[in-house]
Amino acid sequence: MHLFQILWILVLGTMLQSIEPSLVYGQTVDHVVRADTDFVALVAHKAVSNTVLSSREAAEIYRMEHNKWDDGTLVVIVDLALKSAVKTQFYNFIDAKERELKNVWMRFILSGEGRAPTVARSEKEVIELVANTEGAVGYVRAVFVTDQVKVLALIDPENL
Amino acid sequence: MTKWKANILQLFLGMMVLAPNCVYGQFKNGLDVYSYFQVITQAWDITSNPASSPRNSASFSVQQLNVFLRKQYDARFSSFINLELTNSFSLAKGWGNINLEEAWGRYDHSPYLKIKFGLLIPTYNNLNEIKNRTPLLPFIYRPIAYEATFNSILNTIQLIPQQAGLEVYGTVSGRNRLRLDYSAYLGNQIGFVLSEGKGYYTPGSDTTVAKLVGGRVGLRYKGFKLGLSLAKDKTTLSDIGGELLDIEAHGTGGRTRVGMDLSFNYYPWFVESEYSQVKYRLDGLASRNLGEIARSNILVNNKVNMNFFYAMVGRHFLERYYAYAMYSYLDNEVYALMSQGIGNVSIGGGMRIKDDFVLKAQVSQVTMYSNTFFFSICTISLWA
Repeated sequence: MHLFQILWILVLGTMLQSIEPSLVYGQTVDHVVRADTDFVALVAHKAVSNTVLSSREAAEIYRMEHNKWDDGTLVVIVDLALKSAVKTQFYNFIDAKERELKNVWMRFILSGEGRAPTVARSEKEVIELVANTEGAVGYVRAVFVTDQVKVLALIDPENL
Repeated sequence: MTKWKANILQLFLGMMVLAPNCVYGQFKNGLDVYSYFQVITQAWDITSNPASSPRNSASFSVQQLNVFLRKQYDARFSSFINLELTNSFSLAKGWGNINLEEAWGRYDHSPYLKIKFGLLIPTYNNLNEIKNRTPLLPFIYRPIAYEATFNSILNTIQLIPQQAGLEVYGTVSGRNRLRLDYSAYLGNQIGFVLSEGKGYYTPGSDTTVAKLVGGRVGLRYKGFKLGLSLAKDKTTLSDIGGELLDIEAHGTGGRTRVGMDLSFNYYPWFVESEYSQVKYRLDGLASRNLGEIARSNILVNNKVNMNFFYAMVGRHFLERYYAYAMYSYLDNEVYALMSQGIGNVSIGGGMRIKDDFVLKAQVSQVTMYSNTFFFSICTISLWA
């Protein structure tokens, strides 16, 4: 193979790897709290078998297209009730509009296909709900993350 | 009055609706109970022809109230019950109706494979499954084929499969957000006695072994949705005639419904459209009987197919408001009055006072594209 082609492949590979620059996977809670407090954290109950979620997978869960984790546990969606920067940033991450998502949820609920998302009034409440509900998933600013929950994705709002 | 005005039915509906959408309760045993209802106030102005004076009325009512019970047993099994009360239901006053719309159990293997068993509304085009879910509908009065109010005069029940007993469905995910939806179902020949006395009859059951068979295949990409639907079953000549023609002659026919739906949701715009056609293949007895009836009754044609379509364009404003324009059309060849079709133009809008509390308004004009003079009979009896 020509050297020029190899270089191209390397450049292309680097570009592809950076398609989702806003994601930082597999970080410990300590690392999250110290370094990335402005990030948005996608958090789940500690017993959830998944370790990371891409934006596509998170979108499929919040659109109720996937209602189970890899180990077969039922997903319980937690959403913030009020408009906030973290809510907007997370919705941008999953490429969804609030009205659109509410319509999707309403259609699932009224056709008997799924349960209504659990609504939290604050990020602190999100952590409490996620920590205490089997299969729960929610989003908060990274500064709210505790060792009671598992971080599945870290989202850099500046790269959305 | 111009000829055009003299020969069409004009129905002006002015409606306001207050719709608290979802009252939700979750119990610790996993039973969810939730409900919605739609309160309506409406004014009617009916003009049929110069010979009859216009009819006006105004009224308040609870148009529809649904109660849902849902239980999730584990990650795979759930059940669902949907009870519907219509038109300010009251046993004491003899108003409205109560109906068990759905009662089914579901096995959820994966997004690719789900199975429902019981009493269910089959997937057909875009609107069938949600036609009674008023919180999901921007409009108050639905497109003609889905509006129960029209059924007694237009026999719209023939256009859309109403119930099934078993449905297998799922979604296959492709790259990005491309989705392939499928469903296949089996159901009763609802309400039709086709066995000619050879079947065993119990109330609410099918007396035949012939079944409704149908399904839908659809593609979704982001807000774009396209689907093809098909449903085949049998029916009788008297059911093809419906309540209005009240044909008592014997004879049956195969019925094939073909549908296509196309919708697009690109915030703030939303577009929906649907087409459905019903074709019958009458047996020899039904053909002969229909021919004889058509020769002696000018209300009856010796043709039986039906067509329906609707299209709606809407837009959201400032998150809390929306507006739309809609047109729906239906023709039913067997009715001489309906062979040229009936059209419904609506404009409307809504305001979300709260997320689950919507104020809707709609103005509609229904026009019968026929020059015959009988059209006012059905409409006055319907809306009076």
